[in-house]
Amino acid sequence: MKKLVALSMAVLMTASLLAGCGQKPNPGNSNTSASNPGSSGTPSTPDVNYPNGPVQVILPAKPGGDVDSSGRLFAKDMEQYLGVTLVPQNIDGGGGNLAMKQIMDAEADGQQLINYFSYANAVIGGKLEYKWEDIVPVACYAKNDTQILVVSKDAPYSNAQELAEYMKANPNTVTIAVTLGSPSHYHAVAFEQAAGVSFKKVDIGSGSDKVVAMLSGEVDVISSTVGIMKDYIASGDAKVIGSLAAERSSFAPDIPTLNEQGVDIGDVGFAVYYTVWVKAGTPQEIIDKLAGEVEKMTADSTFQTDCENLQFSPLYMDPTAVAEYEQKYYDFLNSMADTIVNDKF
Amino acid sequence: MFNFAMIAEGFTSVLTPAGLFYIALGTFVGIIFGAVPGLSGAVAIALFIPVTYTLEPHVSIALIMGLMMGGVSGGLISAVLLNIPGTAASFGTTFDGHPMADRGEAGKALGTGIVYSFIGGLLSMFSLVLIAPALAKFALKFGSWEYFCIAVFALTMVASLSGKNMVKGLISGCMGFVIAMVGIAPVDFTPRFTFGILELQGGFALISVLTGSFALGEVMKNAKKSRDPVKPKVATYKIKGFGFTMKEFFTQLPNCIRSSLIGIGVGILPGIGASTSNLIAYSVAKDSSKYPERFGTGIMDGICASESANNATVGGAMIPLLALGIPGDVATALLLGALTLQGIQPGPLLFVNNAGLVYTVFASMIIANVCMILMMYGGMRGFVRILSVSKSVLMPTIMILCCVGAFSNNNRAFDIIMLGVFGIYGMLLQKFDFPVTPLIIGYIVGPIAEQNLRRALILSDGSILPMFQSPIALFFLLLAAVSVYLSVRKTLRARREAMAAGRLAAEGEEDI
Amino acid sequence: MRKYSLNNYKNIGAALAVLLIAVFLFVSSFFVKTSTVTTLGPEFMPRLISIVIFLLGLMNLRTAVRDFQFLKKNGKLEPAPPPRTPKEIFLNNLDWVSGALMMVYVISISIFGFLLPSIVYMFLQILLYTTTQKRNYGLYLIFSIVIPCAVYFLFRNYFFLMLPKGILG
Repeated sequence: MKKLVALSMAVLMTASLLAGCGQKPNPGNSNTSASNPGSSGTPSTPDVNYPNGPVQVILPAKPGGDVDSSGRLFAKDMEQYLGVTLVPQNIDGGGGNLAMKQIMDAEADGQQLINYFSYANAVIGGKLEYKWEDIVPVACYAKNDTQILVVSKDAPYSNAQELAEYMKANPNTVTIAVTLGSPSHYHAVAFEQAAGVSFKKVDIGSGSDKVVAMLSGEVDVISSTVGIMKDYIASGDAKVIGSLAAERSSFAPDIPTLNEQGVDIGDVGFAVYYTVWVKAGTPQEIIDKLAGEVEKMTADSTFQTDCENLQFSPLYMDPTAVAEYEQKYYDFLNSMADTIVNDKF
Repeated sequence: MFNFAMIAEGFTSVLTPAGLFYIALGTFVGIIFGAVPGLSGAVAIALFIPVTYTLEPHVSIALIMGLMMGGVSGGLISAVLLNIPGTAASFGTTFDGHPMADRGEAGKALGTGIVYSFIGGLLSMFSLVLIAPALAKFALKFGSWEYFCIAVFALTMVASLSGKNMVKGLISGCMGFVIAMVGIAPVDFTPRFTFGILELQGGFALISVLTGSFALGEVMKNAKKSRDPVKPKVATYKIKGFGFTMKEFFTQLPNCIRSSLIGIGVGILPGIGASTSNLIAYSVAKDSSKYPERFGTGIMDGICASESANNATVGGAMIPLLALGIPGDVATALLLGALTLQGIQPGPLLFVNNAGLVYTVFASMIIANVCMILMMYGGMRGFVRILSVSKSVLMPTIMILCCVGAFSNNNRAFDIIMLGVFGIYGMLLQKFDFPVTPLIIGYIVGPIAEQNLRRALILSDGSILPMFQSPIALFFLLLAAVSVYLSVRKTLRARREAMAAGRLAAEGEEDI
Repeated sequence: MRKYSLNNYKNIGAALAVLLIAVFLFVSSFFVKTSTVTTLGPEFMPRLISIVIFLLGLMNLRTAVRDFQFLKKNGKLEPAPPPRTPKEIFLNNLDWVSGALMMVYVISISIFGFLLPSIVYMFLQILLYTTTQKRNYGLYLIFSIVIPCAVYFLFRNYFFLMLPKGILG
């Protein structure tokens, strides 16, 4: 008897599951009041058969960093524009190799997007087994220009000039937290080349590890973001040297850039442009359609509020513009590549 | 720090129907995810993040705290009943939990685990509210040398948990370390031991190694056992209350408090979590006990130590998160992300500017903890009943779920394959009398040691001197030395006795 | 058949294997490229550990040999088991058979997706667990289909964990 009950329950369960499989529940985007994207200049694309079911957004990082949060934000807010579920997938490891493998193993049909802002970093670093041409950028959707150099409150320097002078007087003593080949490494090298000084680079880890190390005095200088450091600056535990972007950020209008302070790192700067890429060879119509929808999303008020919470600035760049920017950024990083690759710790 | 008005506010913000519902839901789901080998609280949180988008901040926090508390507690169920740790945090619970269940005292084992989980969690929560900023500041004193020494101390546990044969245990531990080295090296990111295979650059996932070596081994062994003509006695699990007496409860209290302190301490340090704290607590409990030889046979002490520590680590991990905005592990990192998306950025001023939030977290944790103990107590008989479900269906289901868990780690089928490989490897080790526990310790702790050693040396330009100038580092080195000395002495003595009695040298020692 | 069971040589064999592994690891560590000159390169730890393993392995070998000689001297070596039929061998090693089944299962997931291999695996594993007398093939079939389906759809559609699709989808 018991077995019969179990059996019938099992059958019922399967039936209901198979039935329910047809409708995919929407995970959390209950914003029915979609703000009218308004008239954007994007020419309406003829009806392209895209997307074809759920789209995967690959995040080449562990949960918790900004590659992760930006990608999840993208996935969440794009749903109503693409009409399908976007599934964020963390694939970390191998210096980006594993995430890239996933993209490259799949079809070039736009069903797999990868959320990257540091592809140039990965390629130039030399550990990546893939080439610059292997993926193409579709669109940029947000910008993060809140990268700053920070020192602890007890440091004998409070701005870029003082730091540079101190370093000239005491070469190779000021420590900076750097992860080999990553943006933080380039921040350090850019500063070095611009001011003609030399840091002592140490590996502390990334993100919060750096903050801990700076607060405890284990390292002198770190690069971080306004969002993370806001409280520390307000409480006086940390001092800002300057912003690493080419222009001041709207989130921190009173933090001068390094350029302004006389440490000229060039006009590209280190702002982060969150971009989605697809595998090279994806049909242009698909790229255009996706880009068009991204543009609408960036005008959406929900998206804009979400961005603000994360200290991103919504920003749309179409495929051509973003490709151009990425190339410029690539060249910028490449100019420092020799130093980076041969750097000694 | 004790602002009653704020505490009340914290509680009222969560004691709404919505709040309570989500805490209960979170705890329930967390327990399930924790209980299933291969899934964990962190996986549950990651999967539920989209749900938090629609919820208000207070309720999101409540949900995530429920998932966290449930996740770390649920592991004890499978650890006791199946000898498979549901999560790495309950690894230590298998040592005594399962033997106790085998004796027919599964109820007592579960009860012990549940009660001390609750107390451990409670203690860590109080530390969170009372002394969080001070503790956080203290945690800042831990730099690379200190972490290295802690790791060394943790590695010496390999010796004490090696069981019958210390040499084999050490070999196992070293193998574990080597397994962890496959992948990308710390600091310079060069591939190691990858032999040109791209997939290996990601290294092996904890779930593949831990669950593979343990869970799969159990599935395989049970296939053989289930055909035994001699059926093991299916004891009737009469459970009165939590299964143990008040007297026993009080006897274990010092152990519980010490283990909770260890759990809190480990939790405060970013980068080391419940997977390590439960083992450290167990090992310390064993070494400081009057009857170390009984550890591993199924005594309350072992379960109490492991479970108090792992729940206490949850509260401990919240301290750096809330006081400094620094996440200690994947679960807290996800929580940080969820909070940030709601517009809340934890940092040193959180306690000042947004203390209400801290008390919301505190209230959620307490309520989640209560939910946990209620649900698990209510479900105790049900869990035990699971044992009576035909193993033939239960075990393959576990295998399937382990594969799901392995996949959820990094969305790769490769991790599933490695799950199988480590299953075979675990079996091989067992057949040749190599203990598997040290393997896991070496795997988890080894990388912490290496990474911090290299970082520390970079900072000091190659000099080891700073290590000897740090009191904290020296303290842990001392602990490590004591631990090694005790273990070696025990082994040598046992070996001498064995040789004298004419038994084999290899089998000289007593059980674990 | 030989006079003594292979089991007697178990520990010596394992000890030798450990030594071989240590050597292999040591040699492999030379293939690690050092890119930046740091005090301790990435090859340091592997090399150190492989040396440690080697030394431990020597100790282990010594113990194994000593025990073997002790047993041999006292005539306590395990005698060879009587010859067994293939079926007996199979039934005696169900744990390894399960292990083999698992390996085939996990590998086939990456080829055929998650769903189909899970169904097949579950069915076969249940069979391995049960004796021919007490079997209920129909019931097992139901479980083997229902449970993997439930897991697959639950995680794919509700949790959005994209388990491999394979050929079935």
